[in-house]
Amino acid sequence: MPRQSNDAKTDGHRLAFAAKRCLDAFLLLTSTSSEENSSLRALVFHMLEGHAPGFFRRCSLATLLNSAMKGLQPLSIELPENLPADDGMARIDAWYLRRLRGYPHPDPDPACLERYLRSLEARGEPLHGWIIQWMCQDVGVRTANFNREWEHRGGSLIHDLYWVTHLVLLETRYLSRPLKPGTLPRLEEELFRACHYARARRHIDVAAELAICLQVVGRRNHRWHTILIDELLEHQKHDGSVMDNSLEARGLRAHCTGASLVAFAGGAREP
Amino acid sequence: MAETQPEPSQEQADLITPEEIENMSPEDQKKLAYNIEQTAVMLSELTEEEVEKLQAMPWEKLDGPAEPDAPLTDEDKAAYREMWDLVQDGTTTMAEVLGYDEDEIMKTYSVGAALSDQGRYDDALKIAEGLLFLMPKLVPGHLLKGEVLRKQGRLEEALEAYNAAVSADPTYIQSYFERAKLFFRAESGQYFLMDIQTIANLDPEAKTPFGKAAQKILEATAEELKKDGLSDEELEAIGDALDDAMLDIDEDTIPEIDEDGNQIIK
Repeated sequence: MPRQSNDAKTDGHRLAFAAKRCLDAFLLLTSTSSEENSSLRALVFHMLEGHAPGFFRRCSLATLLNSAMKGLQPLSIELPENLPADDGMARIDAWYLRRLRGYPHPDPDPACLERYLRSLEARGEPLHGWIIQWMCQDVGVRTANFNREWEHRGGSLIHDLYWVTHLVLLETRYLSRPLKPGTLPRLEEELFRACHYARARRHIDVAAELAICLQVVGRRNHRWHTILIDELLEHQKHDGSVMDNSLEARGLRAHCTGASLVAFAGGAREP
Repeated sequence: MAETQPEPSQEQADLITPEEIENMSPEDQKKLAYNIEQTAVMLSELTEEEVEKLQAMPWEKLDGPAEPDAPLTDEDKAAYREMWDLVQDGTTTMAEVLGYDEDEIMKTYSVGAALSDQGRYDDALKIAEGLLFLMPKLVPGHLLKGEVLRKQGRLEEALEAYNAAVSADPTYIQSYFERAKLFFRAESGQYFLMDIQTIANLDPEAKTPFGKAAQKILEATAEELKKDGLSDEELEAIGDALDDAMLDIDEDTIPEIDEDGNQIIK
């Protein structure tokens, strides 16, 4: 095994410390039992288990993950047409995670699911619809007209950026399995392009997800990874949370802190 | 009538300890490594410490060492450690590291299933655990483990095994069916119906025996399903439908899987 340089060690310690501070803030931010918080907690711990197993063990997160998974059990799987996109996403995240991890959970009603997907499209939320459909196909629930390709490229920059990160997140089942080589052609090219835009527009939440993606494709040592991680560290507040001003108005601080937590913990892994 | 304890198999009686393996010549280690049945049984009996000893073995030399008697070098150890890390993060499996192909794995699964059918549950469980050491996401391995534990009356452990089967591949229909049977036996009506509904969603055209069974159960219990709670009589009606549906399933059928390990739906 190659000897670690002192710089790498220092970086590792710095990121591990940032991750621990992030974890404390994340636990506080998600301490209320809303559907969105419950799903986010479970999702972030699930990602840490697969992506940063050392950090997961050191922080004894197994118990928290188990209780977060149990906390998803009472979440409704109803998808009324007027349900806000983020709330629908939280319910589907909960169902998908329970299925992935082998817990029994009721499936969404196929007809309601189709109606909800059409309503998301009509409301200008194609990204949520695309992610939900991918998750459905992944666990064997078929939906009409699903296309793995992103047909809305150029419609919204923020959607395009989250589409790139979700290619990696979904293909790896939220970091619980490695990315098979060759699965996603031209992925690195897409990631680097997204890095450029995310940094230029100060989309910190996207930057955190992109840093995770670069770690997944084995680019921890790439300059873009360093740039993104530095950006996240700059935006970490005294309480350990990470703010994204472009998302703060929507109350998604917990999401940005959770994504940064995974990015810091994943970046702190030994090279 | 009390069941008689089965005699230990010859394979079990001849089990070799990790220390003995370490002292073998590479040629003998190679012979042993290719004897998957024995290896699978043996691996399942190892403690964590013993597994670590096995990790230090120069497996990469098994395919034709240049110097068979050369001691393990630091480079060898580093190469093995790297391989072990790949196993840990799921990039590869111990089966790939040790050079087992799918036929050998499925043959071992068949041996385990046969032992389970013969009532040799401890032996079958060891085979299942050995298979899962080699391929942690092997659904038939989890199902075999669940089946044996269910037959032994260890229902909570059986449920864990079926949960692991669902987790290993959430689209593998048989896992939900086996778990549904367990829920039914445990009188967890709500969970039983959830899994039956999931089977129907995974196989809406009822192309598999499990899909057909789920459809039958759902048709027979459509009225009961509309209610929130289920009475004993209603559960009994579902049980009858389940028994009826089960008659159509050949339980001895080994699940067919394609090259990627997915269940084949005909």
